[in-house]
Amino acid sequence: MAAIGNIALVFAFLTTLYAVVLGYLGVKQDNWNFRQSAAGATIASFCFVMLGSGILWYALLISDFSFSYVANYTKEVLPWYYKFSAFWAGQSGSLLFWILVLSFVAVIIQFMKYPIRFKIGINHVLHATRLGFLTILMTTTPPFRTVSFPAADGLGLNPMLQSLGMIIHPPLTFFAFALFTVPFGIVIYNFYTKANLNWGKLCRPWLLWSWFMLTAGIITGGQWAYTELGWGGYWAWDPVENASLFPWLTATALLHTLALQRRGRGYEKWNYFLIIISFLLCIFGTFITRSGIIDSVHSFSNSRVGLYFILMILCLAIFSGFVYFKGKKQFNSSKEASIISLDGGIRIFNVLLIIILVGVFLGTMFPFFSEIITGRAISVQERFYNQITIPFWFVILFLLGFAPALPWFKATSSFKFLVFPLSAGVGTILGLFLLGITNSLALAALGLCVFALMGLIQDLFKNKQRFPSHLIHIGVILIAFGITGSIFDQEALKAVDPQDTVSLGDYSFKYQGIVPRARGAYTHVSTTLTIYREDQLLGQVTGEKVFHPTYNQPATNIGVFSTLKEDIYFNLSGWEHDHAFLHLSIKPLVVWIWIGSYLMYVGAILLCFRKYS
Amino acid sequence: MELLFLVIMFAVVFVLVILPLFKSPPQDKEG
Repeated sequence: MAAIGNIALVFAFLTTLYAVVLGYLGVKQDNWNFRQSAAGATIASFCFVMLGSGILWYALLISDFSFSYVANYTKEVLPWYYKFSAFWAGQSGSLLFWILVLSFVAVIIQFMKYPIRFKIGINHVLHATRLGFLTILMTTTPPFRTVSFPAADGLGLNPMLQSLGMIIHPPLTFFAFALFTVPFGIVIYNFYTKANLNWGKLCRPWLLWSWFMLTAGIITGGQWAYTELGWGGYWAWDPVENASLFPWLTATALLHTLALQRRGRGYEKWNYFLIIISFLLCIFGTFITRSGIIDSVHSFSNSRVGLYFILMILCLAIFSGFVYFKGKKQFNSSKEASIISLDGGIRIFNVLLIIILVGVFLGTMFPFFSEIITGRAISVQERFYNQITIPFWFVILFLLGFAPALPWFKATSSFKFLVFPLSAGVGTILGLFLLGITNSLALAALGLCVFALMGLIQDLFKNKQRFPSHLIHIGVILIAFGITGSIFDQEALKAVDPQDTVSLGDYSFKYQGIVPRARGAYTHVSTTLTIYREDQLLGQVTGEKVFHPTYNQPATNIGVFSTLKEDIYFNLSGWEHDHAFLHLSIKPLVVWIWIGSYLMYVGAILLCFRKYS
Repeated sequence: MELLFLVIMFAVVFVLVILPLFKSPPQDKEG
């Protein structure tokens, strides 16, 4: 079967190459047969990638340990869904998944009601990207490598990856990255062939879907970190997290300036730049995750694949620059708009996102640069990222409440619309201060959240058609509200014996003992705490460690007792017979982060299905 | 088994890639 997998990939490569050549000739010589054959080759190459992927999935599901990949990432006892998700647990599997999604998108393009030349043009870009990835896959990390003497059992999947979050999070991110290829293809086609299309409108639906999937990918990654990693947070400015944030920042900026382009304000050069940079950052994200260039919990690999990625990014960047100069005359120039208008607000918002991008990018790459210069990789602390980004997030929160009420293009002459949100914001700060909250950062953040929320609600009464986008904006505010809660985090490490009661904040926790249980090949060691507040029973929370036969480090299952006010976060740190060490935390407002993200999803889906004239 | 897959792969190439080269184009041309 491995041989068929390898042959399928070679067939996929050859049919993709064929589709590029025949597509080009079909357009150049106006040959219908060539164009149809190129379209057929696109579908055929998808079939071959599908076959290759199917073989790998089949080998994973039946635990065929003659495949090195299967032996490295699964075990016989692993549940079928983790065997299925082990597909993207390693370098070659995730590259193959990228290629599979790209091939699927190329087929979708083939069936879209676009003119045939346009479809071939976009697919040329998708094919070029696929050829790049297929070359990397086949030459550096072939997924169908076999061993002559298969082991009786595999090494197993990293315990941290055995969670629902890791079944959902990577495919969402890969889909988002693959969908970003289409807007890239659209602009390259438009400016290379001087087609003079309404490319902003054509890119928008693809961008919205990819933005939605990337947002969902980032947030599900945060949820996974929160409940599985056990360090108590949802965002650690880890290089891999940052890598998915980069294209998100540029795509968010782009979606806003595309709205200006749709209204005839220009910004075409800027939007072209953002599309190119978003796409390159998607590839860069895969590069960071899979090259092992920067050490992080996600970088499970270290091979020469990085060099190929860098080459690919360079080639795409140089080609994009060439296309820019080739189609330079087609760009409509931007029209000057007042800074105190919605146009101005969007411009400032764009600049802020790019500043955040540059700051986070430099921080992420700092270990790499410092190693080149000093020979020692120096990592940047979480505090650095917070310090450089928080002031800009604050201005963005202000803009969220202020800018939507401004008229398009022209400066406003009246600021009456600010009275209600400002009063609400200032009232919140005063109210919270009187309630005893004195932390200035928290007061400013919560005041701004209320200001922005009221500004948006007020705007919704006037502009009901903005409901989907404002739903996303309200989601962002709720996420900011939830993150602000982290200022008031409380935590404690308690050593306890059975029947002991310990307290943290307003809560007390009764410990009853350690419960070890064997589940198949795994051993679960758990403890359930009973939670009381002022002697009133609230509920129970269970934390556990799961021991996997082939890993020294156990996996952590965090116990979370969630309320709208705060989460009780419980990590069973360690034990000795029935004597246990409990890591307890109270994390205010965390649930609002998840509520905000669900609102963002709903708003994004509504926008995806909205039709613009 | 492997031979069967190989035959299927060639059949896919023949049907999707080779055959369109010899089809007669429609009267109302696309694109």
